[in-house]
Amino acid sequence: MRAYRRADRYLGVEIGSRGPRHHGELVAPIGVASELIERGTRRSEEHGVARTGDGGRTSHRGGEFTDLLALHARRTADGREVGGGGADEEGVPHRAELGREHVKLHALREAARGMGMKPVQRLARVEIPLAVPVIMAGVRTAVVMNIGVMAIAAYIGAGGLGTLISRGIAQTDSRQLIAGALAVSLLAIVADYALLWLQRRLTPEGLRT
Amino acid sequence: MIRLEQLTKVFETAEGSTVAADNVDMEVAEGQICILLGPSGCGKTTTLKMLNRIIPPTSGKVYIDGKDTTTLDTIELRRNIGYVIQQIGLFPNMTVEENICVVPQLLGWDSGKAKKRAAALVEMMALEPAVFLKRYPKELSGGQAQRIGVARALAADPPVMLMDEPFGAIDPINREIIQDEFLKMQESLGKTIMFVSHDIDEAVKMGDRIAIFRDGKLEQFAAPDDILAHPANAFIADFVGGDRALKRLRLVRVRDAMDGEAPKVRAEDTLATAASMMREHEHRHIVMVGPRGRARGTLSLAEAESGPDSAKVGEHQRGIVATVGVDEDLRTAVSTMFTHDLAWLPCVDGDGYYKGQITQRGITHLLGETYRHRSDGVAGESGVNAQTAPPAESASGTAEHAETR
Repeated sequence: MRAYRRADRYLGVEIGSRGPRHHGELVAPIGVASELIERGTRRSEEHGVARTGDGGRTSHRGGEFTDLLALHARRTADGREVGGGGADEEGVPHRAELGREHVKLHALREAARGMGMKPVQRLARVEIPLAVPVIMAGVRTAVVMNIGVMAIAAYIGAGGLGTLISRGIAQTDSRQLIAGALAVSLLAIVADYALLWLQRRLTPEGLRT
Repeated sequence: MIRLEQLTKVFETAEGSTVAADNVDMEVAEGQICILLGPSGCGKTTTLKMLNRIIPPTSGKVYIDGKDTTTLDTIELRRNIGYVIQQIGLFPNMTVEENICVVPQLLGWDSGKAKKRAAALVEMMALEPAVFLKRYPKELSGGQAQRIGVARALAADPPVMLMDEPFGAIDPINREIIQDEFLKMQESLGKTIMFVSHDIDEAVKMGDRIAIFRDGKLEQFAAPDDILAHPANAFIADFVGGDRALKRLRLVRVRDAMDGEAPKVRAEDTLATAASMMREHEHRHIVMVGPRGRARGTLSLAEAESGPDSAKVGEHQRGIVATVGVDEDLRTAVSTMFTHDLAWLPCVDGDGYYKGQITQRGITHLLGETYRHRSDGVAGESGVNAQTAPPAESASGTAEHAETR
């Protein structure tokens, strides 16, 4: 609980304004979460525009994903009209300043709306299939990072391959250390390849390169 | 039939409100192509997108086949309107077939019927179904993708189609080809089409009616020839260009401008007969036809008069240098004349049978007629240099064409 209060203090006014103060203990975690999400989205939108502003790095996968996030964020923010026309309604000048990738997604969404797809249908048939490679890229990164980080779990007695490394350090036994490091690396690489295979299987054929 | 009534869209932006469409009133008859034309930011695309409620109107009504679209379910409405956008927007995760089948599926067609329809449409687009149905959009060229985009919009056979600069992203050569194909298709399909363009040449070629927008206002709504011949104001005159009289050449077929009564002679006729026929019809040339009526040669009045009266046409005729088909437009006719340094051309039908002749004087007379007619009626509009004509004068001269409010 103390930790939450600290977070509350750290994030200050913005969280306070989110709910009644006396519910601090309960509200804080939610506040932190929503704040983080919001900041993330804001950053991703800024990122989307900045990235497309210089135009050159469109092949960067992460960028595509944030673009996609930005699209969704804008829609939910706009509210009522399905898929809210914020971007649509501002029309050409707005579109012109966005990058090519963004325009492509925008065009696909508009085509889907114009053909009479409902929001759920658009999500299932167009938006999610298109996002699969990007989502999977994120999953892979997360899995590889976690396998690496989990080696530390040995220090709190959780076992795993980390024990080899921690013991190796404690006993200055480089054979154990190297064996542990290699095993962790191998696991990460194997997991990454397995997920890559999955990613290729899940990516719609028309998007495969 | 599409009818717009006082259709208005106001965008509220941080800098204040912008009127993108200002009380637009228009009516497009069934089976017609109406081109929404104007510089960028004039409200033409906004107007188009209000038809299928991609952009909700601020006020005003849209009637399709007499039904007020506000009373219809938006999703249902969109499924019954074909929609083609400039970026084409084929879904990259679906094959050509799946792309075309999207709307039929949404409408609950059975999949066999939808697939058959897709194959038929691909064939209609002059593409081989066996080759293209299973391809993905990334495997198509720009022109092919655009054809599939049109096919997708036609999938559920909607009576109304909205096209937002559908051929804008295609290179000029392919654009011409696709435009021609599309017009040919439209002849048999008879869809009611709203078509956004910023290209006056495309508008003149494709449109039955042209609506010119500026700053959200409908400035003029008329047939292409009317707009070219009688622009309602200086802005439109400027927009359609100083060569607008030449653009009209595209709109008239040779068949409508030629002299179908022009005399013809046969090889065995004498020069005297030929000369008297030419004098009678006030022609300087005459065409010699073969036994079944095909154009075989030509004879000028001077040649006919200088030769001995009893000589036969067949001995004095010159061969045919060039002809023009009766279904070609005047632009082609004039171009052919220029190429061969001729002031007239024999006109033939598809099988080479002689149908009449067309002269440069005849063409200039025809094009000039509407201008002369106009200046007889009301003051203003010199027609020749309308760009320099005072705006007020030309506007008042054709006020009945304007839909300004």
